[in-house]
Amino acid sequence: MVRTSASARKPSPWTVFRVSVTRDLAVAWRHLHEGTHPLLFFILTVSLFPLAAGPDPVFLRQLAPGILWIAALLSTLLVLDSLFRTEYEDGTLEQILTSAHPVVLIVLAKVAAHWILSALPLVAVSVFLGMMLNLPAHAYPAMVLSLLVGTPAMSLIGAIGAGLTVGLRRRGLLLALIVMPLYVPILIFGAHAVQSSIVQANWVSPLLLLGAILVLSLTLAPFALVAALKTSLH
Amino acid sequence: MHSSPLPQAVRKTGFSGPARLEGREIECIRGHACLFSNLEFALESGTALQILGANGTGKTSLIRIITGLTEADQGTISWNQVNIRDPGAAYAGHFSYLGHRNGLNDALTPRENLHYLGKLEASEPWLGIGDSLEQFEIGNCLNIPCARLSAGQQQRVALARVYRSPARLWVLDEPATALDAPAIGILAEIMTRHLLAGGLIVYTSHQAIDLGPVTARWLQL
Repeated sequence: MVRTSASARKPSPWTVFRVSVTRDLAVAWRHLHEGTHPLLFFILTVSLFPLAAGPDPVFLRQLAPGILWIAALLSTLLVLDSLFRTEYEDGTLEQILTSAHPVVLIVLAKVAAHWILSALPLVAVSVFLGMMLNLPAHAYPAMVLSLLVGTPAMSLIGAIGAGLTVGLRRRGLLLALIVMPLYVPILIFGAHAVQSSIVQANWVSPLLLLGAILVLSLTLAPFALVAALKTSLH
Repeated sequence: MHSSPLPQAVRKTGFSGPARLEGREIECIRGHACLFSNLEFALESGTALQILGANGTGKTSLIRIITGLTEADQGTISWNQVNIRDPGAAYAGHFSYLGHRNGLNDALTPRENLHYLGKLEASEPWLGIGDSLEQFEIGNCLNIPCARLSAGQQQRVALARVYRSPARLWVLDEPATALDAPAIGILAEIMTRHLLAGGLIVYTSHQAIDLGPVTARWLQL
């Protein structure tokens, strides 16, 4: 019984964060087929626009920022419901909320893992979809950066909605209705950054504003999220 | 199941100092019905409290109030004379909770589940994962995804999690659910050991759990 002597060691907050993220990644690895759904949804949604709006390259180039951002927003929204679903149903959430460590940190780790799994692949794939939409080469940095900064903010804000609705039996579209209005500023600045970059205008300012939204949601959303989860489990 | 004697994985040192869990004037309202009011209870280290009552009398509600997951409509729960809702109470590190939902992820193995849940504890668990599963005679299930385990085996894994927890207070809601007779025997034994080491247990159970020489109290709802 070697481990007995270790009874006084307290896991550091970083250890708890890391273990929590790797656990969620391991769970996702076991359900790999489900994990690809948001990505496929993203690709399909973007592919629908040229079919509906016509293949005119100039027209598509104008629409590209809006299409990519709305598709990213919708795929984020689609997987939001699953963020705490299993944990709620199997009781893990109760264990998290009664943990001796700062609950804010643990739920932040969950959102981080969720972002890595659901949004990071979108950012990678957006490069190829940009080609499909005839996005000029000089607009790629703006597109990738704006998605990299904007999607974590969407995950964080959306997590509050997911936390609020996780205990409801008939959620339907409620989560989307709660969260979508909150995504508006992110959508405006995100799409605006890409748009400005296409016409070679200043795209750093909207990106910085997007960064400000990310910082704000990173510092405030976890606390709101813990409050939402506590209410759901009450 | 083989019938070899239990490996004796017992805490080397008991818990030190006194500990006290106390409930005062607890009231719980669900919808328009008052489940219970003016409920008083107290228990010290080395004692167990069994919450008794028919279905729907609020046993689980009281358990959840004791864990702080639900807030009582009236009254306070205090741990060592400090209200558990005080910001500085640090109550969460002192108890281990097992509810109706066992806290195990289906896709993960018992080893992975217990590793993660162990990190949520205030300090490293005092007993290794394999050893704790051995206690419940499911050492062979270490690396099998929980979805492939039976309900009884899953409950054993969940109890192993509680057993290796460094927490002093165990809050167990129907711990004997889905367990067979030998497993209930093991459960009774580890509960007794925990109490003899100076721990505290609040539990509900429809099955009889024989705690042997330890003082057990009842709270009738």
